[in-house]
Amino acid sequence: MKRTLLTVLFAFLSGTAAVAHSLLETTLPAHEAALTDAPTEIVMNFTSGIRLTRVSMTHADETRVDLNLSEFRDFISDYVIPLEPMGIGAYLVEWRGLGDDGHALNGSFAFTVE
Amino acid sequence: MASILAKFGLYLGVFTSFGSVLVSLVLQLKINRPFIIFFAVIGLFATLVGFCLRGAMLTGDVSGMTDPEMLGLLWTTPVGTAFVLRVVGLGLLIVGVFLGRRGLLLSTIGGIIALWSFAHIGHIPDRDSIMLNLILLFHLVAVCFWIGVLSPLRKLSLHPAQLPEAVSVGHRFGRLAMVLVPLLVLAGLYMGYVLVGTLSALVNGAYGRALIIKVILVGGLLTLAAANKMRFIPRMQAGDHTAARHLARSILVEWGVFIVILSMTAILTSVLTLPM
Repeated sequence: MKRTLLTVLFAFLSGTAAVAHSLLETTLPAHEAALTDAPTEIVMNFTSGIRLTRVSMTHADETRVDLNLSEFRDFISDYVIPLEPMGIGAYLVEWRGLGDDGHALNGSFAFTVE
Repeated sequence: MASILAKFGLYLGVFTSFGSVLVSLVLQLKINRPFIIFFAVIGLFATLVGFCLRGAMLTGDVSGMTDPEMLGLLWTTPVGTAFVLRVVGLGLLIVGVFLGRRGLLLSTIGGIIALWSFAHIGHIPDRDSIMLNLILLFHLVAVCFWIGVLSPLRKLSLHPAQLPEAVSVGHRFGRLAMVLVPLLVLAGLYMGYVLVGTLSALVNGAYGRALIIKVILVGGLLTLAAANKMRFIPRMQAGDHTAARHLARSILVEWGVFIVILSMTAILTSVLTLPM
């Protein structure tokens, strides 16, 4: 009975549940873009000020590296983050940060180099 | 899940401790110091855990909970302000209950400071409206008062010798509730309307659906409270001890519903996004 009630509750609440308010407006490379050359930097544009706290990049589902954010110490909306090209394959960028209103934010985007 | 639990602990701790202070002050009840301190400490612990969990959300792993850079960063935002308000408020509330009846004023000020922290971070403060923040504060004070009366009223109902006092508390609370509860519900509905906006967002979004569940639960709570006031209190006044036991049981159910409502609120404020 308890399990049924919980199942109904979660089914009722499913749909638009999310961990936080994602404010990422545009990225370069764009989400799901297919490129011929591996990028040497990524650009992330947010709708308002955010302090990125962790950005990791996974290449070909294997190599995962944390990108260097040491030069970013303020709440800004436009980030240009240098990265080491890793050749062809699928790239997944996962980011976490803090909005200047105190909200924890996170998200991800992916692209491919062919 | 951990952040929902921390939020739930925060609500339970702050609302119950401050509610007990409020009813001691307004209804002139004996101060239940261990009870108040127990819940205030739960509130303080949940405040600390909730703050550290936000650090973990910034790194994506538990290292963020103790990472000085992440916690320092949080400190500079409204999260840090809310943390300070909760610690100072609950601290004053605890100090106040050690100072006897005169200290209740200090505890009340502490409780209001702790409640004001909810006007610093969350969906309502995001609207940047002082009027909405004040409505939220009123809503929370009324919730605290309601929660605060449950334990003393139940305790009095369980002792046949204290039946006249139970009746008196029930009557006085009932009179205040006639004004407070409709305003509490109106304030809640108004805030819900401002946050959700449209009927379709209410029905189709997870946030709106959670809000519907909360409103249904509040409806159940109102029915229980009305039954207490209309059926049990008058019979207790006539010296019916069975009615007193029924009231005590009904209050236990009210506690249960409040716990579910606070859990729903923790879900609403932690993991569900507002409709765009």
